[in-house]
Amino acid sequence: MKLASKVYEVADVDDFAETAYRMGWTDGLPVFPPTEKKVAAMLDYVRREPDEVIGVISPGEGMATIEKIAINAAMAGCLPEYLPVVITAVEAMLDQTFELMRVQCTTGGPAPLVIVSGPVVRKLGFNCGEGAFTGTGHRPNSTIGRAIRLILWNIGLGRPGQMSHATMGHPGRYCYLVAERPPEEQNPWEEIHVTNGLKSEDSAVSMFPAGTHIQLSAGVGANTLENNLFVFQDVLCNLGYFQAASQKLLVINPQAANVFHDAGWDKARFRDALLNQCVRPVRDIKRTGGQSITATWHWTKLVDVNDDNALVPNMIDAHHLQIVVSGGWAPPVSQCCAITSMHGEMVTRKIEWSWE
Amino acid sequence: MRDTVNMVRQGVPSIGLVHEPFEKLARMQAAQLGMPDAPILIYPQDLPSSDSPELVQQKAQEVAMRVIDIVLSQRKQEGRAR
Repeated sequence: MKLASKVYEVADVDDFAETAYRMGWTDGLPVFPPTEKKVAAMLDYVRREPDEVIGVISPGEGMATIEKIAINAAMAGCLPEYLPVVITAVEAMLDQTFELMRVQCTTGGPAPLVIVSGPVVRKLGFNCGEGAFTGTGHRPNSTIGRAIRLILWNIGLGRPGQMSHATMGHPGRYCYLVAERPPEEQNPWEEIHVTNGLKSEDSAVSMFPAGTHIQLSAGVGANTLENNLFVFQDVLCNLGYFQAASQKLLVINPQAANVFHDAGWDKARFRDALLNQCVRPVRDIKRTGGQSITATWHWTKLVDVNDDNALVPNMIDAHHLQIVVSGGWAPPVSQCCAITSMHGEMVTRKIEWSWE
Repeated sequence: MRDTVNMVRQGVPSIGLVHEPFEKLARMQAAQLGMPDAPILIYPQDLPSSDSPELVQQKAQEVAMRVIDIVLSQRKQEGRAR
């Protein structure tokens, strides 16, 4: 197989590590050598031409060919069977709805969250239990999340101090992936890819442009469901990151989801109850500022700005509140995560691969 | 910058309006797009929310006048080239 990329010769692994830093091939964490053998194995696995272009990645305007994606996946430590997931994630990020240019460059410094759901979770051995967002030794979680970062770094050149202008950045930029619990692993609710138009038997990647990551104690099971919803609402409507009519993601632990489920709440009922509750009065929102009033979602376009009691919606439709069930057992404080979007919205794509 | 470069390539008089903090991004992206000398108008760093509506309007007018000057100079250069 003929590869187009330039070949670099290094003396040994140590020399490669120093070369990677010197050449700027990494954001600071170590990377694996993308040897011709490793990259060829990936390309052989997916049976796609190395020069096939998936798209152009902003702001560096780099061509995301199958070969370049495979090289970065190899640098991240991916196995060949992970490549269909990585390619699908890149395709999702290139959907205009995701607003990749802003994810890479805006001062808000969001991180692209990879959400994996469907049969692929078990087939590739993703962790969807304890430590769902953290390094737990599960290779697909860590290396696929890392591959996305390296692709945006090396092909898209989204590097702070150069073309990225993140004021603070997001720790998830190093590696940010969560896998949803499948139905047979205590997830009582419709999976996220099903909510977004796919079948349960499909495997999917959903890319979410994450601006925040907040762990919250919802107290599900230790308080009334009404109070649980009040806590979720309070977190989602925090003034510090209140963006009217924008998308949010809740990652609910399986125990909490089952408490609601057993009380007769399916995912839609839970979601719609929160959608209705997540508002704040104009008098509060007036304390915030700085967001461009030219944005279509700016709160001044949604309510009467002269009515201090008018309620500004945090979200306006079902697509604005996405829900994933993941994580381990939770005590009565019932840890969950709330993640707010930044500029763009989540894009879900079916992974066209069966791993048979 | 993609839009600016694409419009220029189609022969449409165009200028990329760029807030000063994003100047390096704009110039690097233009270079990546193969047009390092793409027409870019850098307007000064400010905090519009802290300005009066009148001052914002005045700043916008100044930028608009600079846009017109650049477009007219582009037209003159095109005329000389013909």
